[in-house]
Amino acid sequence: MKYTSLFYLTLFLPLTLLAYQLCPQRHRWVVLLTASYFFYFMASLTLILYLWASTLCVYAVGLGMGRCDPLTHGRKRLLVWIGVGVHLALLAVLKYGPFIAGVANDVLALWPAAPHLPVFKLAVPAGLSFFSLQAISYLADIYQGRTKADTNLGRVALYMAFFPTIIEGPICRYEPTAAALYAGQPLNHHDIAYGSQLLCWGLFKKMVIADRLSPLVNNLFKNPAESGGVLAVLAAVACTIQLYADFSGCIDISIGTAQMFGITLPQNFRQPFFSTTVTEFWRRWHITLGTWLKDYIFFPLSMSPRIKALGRRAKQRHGRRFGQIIQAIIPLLAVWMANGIWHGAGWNYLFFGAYYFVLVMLGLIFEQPLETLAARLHIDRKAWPWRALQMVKMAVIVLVGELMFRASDVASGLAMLRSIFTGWDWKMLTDGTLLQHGIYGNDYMVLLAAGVIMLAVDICHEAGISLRDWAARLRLPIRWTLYVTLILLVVIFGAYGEGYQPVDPLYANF
Amino acid sequence: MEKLLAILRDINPDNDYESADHLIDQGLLDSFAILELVSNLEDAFGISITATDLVPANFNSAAAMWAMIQRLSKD
Amino acid sequence: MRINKNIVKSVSFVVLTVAIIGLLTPVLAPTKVFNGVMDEPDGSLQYVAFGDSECNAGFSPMEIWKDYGFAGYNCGVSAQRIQDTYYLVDKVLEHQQPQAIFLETNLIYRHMLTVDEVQASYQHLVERMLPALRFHARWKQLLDPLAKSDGRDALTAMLKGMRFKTDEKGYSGGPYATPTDQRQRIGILQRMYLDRIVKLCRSKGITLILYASPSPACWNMQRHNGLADYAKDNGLSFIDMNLDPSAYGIDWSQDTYDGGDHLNFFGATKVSRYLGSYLRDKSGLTDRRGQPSYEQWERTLDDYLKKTKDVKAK
Repeated sequence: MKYTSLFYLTLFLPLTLLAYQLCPQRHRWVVLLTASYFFYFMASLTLILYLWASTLCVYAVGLGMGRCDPLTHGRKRLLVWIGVGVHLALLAVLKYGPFIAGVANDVLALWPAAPHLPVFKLAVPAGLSFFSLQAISYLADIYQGRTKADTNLGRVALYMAFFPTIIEGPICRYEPTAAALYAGQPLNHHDIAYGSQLLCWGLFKKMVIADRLSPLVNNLFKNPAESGGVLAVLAAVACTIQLYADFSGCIDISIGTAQMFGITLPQNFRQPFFSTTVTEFWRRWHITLGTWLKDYIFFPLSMSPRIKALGRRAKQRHGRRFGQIIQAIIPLLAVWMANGIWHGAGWNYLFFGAYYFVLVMLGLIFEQPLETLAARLHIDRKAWPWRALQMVKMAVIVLVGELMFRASDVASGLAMLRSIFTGWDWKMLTDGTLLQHGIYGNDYMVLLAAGVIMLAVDICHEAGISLRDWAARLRLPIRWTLYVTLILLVVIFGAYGEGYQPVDPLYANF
Repeated sequence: MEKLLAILRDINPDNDYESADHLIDQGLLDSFAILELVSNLEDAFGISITATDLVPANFNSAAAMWAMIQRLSKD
Repeated sequence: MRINKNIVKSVSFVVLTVAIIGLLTPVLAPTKVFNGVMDEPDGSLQYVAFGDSECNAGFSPMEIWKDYGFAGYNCGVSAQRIQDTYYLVDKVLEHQQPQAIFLETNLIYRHMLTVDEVQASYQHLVERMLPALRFHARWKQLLDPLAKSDGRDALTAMLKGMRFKTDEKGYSGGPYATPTDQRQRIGILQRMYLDRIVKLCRSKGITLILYASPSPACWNMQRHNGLADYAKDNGLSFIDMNLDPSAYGIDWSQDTYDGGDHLNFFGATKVSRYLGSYLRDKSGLTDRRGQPSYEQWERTLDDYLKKTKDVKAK
């Protein structure tokens, strides 16, 4: 079942809301859990067994840790590593099996007599990468005392399976999400109204913009040799906008759906293209993944005794700055490699991780020198001209990163980048080449108009304006016209059904 | 407490540590600042801060940090 | 009470939105729907062909007109589910009284997982109630009469519904009709709708002819057996062209555009020639060439010959 299907929007969601409201409060969580399992079954069929296995695993391991005597630290550590290990193993085998086997085979091929590993591709349950992270975070939180092990299996199950978040996130933490899901607060008009407005906005981004770009992006990346110069830039821009509209659109649908039930999910995007530095970008893009990596990889590693000692020695020898950098290198490398491979099994994802690792390290190393330089040149780094320049710089960095991310392999991605300098031909912009890659003149017009709307909304959000609040203050006829218009824009200009190619959600394979 | 404020201002002079109480939640102290802060606090106060202590509740305000330092000094 | 006021507001909003979407239907409803068959004058078609892309790309009504003077239409729809075929047949029969209906049998075995089937059925149900959801993309034609889709519409109309594919990607797998006694069962849902189509044709005195277009990729003997059984049980003719494609002149090196899944234009002409002769011999259709009400067919034939002259097979 897809979040953008008529089945979900006009049947599943309304019926679930109705059942939820009609149910007595203490049993509302059962409605949510049943609906979530139904949703998951419709999406992944028997693969739901993995979800159940994962849920039982974290429940049991969590309880085991909870029963541990605070002094038997060793036993607690063993349990948490078993729980985490099970999930990492699951990911390794299901998601990375073929890739690892392929790499191993390539290495083994260097010895003629070496055996050849069988490469079998197993079906991957939807949302595996997302609910695995939630599972690991629950176990780690218990281990570090941030939350207590839950004796209530239903609550744990609902935390793991909640249908708006299971396929693409946001990645939620046990506190406060589990309690909020279990509380069964009655529906209220404000949340339903605001939630459905956010849902429609998400639909707009996903269906009018992202799905419309899909054939163009697929086309350009399927034939990288023919997508050089101007087309390579178009490919980078198109795939970046598609990814942003698709992912943030689906997240808005998820957060909006949850809001209709009165549940607040964490924000996952905060106008990322207004960032001025790489680290800021990753605090605004896929926020819940960033905080997960920070809390469960970066800080545990950088606060570990050995790394701290490393940093301290470096600080003593070469000063504070150096100490900080040395202490951060290994944790950062771990974070970025994790970020890369979490996205997929492929060298281009590792490249993507390495790319940002290098950029973040460079940022860290050159932060102080740049600050001194700017001060000497009397550049105000907070004034808007500088910040605008930084945003342009960030746009280039992000476009390059996304092109490498989307390319079918590292070589073709690099070739496309090279062709921007070697194969540039201005004529391609006007001679009709742009219309030969799956979308047409009227599509470009719609993209332009919709893009402007998306930008305008993001500008408002960056300025702290809540558009839903602003709309709520308008008089009813005007307000309703606005809402109906948004819905009509989705219905009429959405890239679905006849005349369009079918599309898979970009993050749904994770 | 003065020592703490001095360390904080040294890391990031832009923040108003006397009144701010959402330093982490509002992203006024980022991960690298925290790294440096932890290192300096450990050296200055002879305590050991672990990943378990790195929760917003302990770092959102100077007062919270001071309470944590006091607690860890006792161990 | 405030709660009631909110419920009233919400319900009215939903009703209003649905009504507005409904009102869009006449604006967006296409003139060239169902491959353009609705443009043919009522009662003018002597036969109609239904099926999925096997029919849509593999059946050429103009070829039959050329050789026999029978007027018919290709209503094949890519990836069609038999449920939708039934509704399409019903719709077309509101305006036409053909003597014969061809049903390409590949879609009878189109089987979706039950979960997908449920969702697809619901979706099609809603789309039937609110056609604007189905034809929403037609804003492109409304705003720009020269939009790409309309160009394709004119070609489809000229070809009487057929999809025009002239690429050649041959099939080289050799004979594929391996004899077996096994039968592939027709799914319950599919059988239900097939029965409804049979009943509908019978009630209107239309001869329903099942046929299987040559397709090494989609066909197998188990399906043949299953269909042959069904045809026998229901007294229907079943022309299976997979048993000996060469008898119809099929040359696998050039008559398919995707390596043996679908026929291209060249394969389609051969199939149509045979099916046209079948109509002549078995269905008692009368040659309409020369009749004044079929003049547009003569003009279309000129365009057709002109278009296809340049793409003659080697």
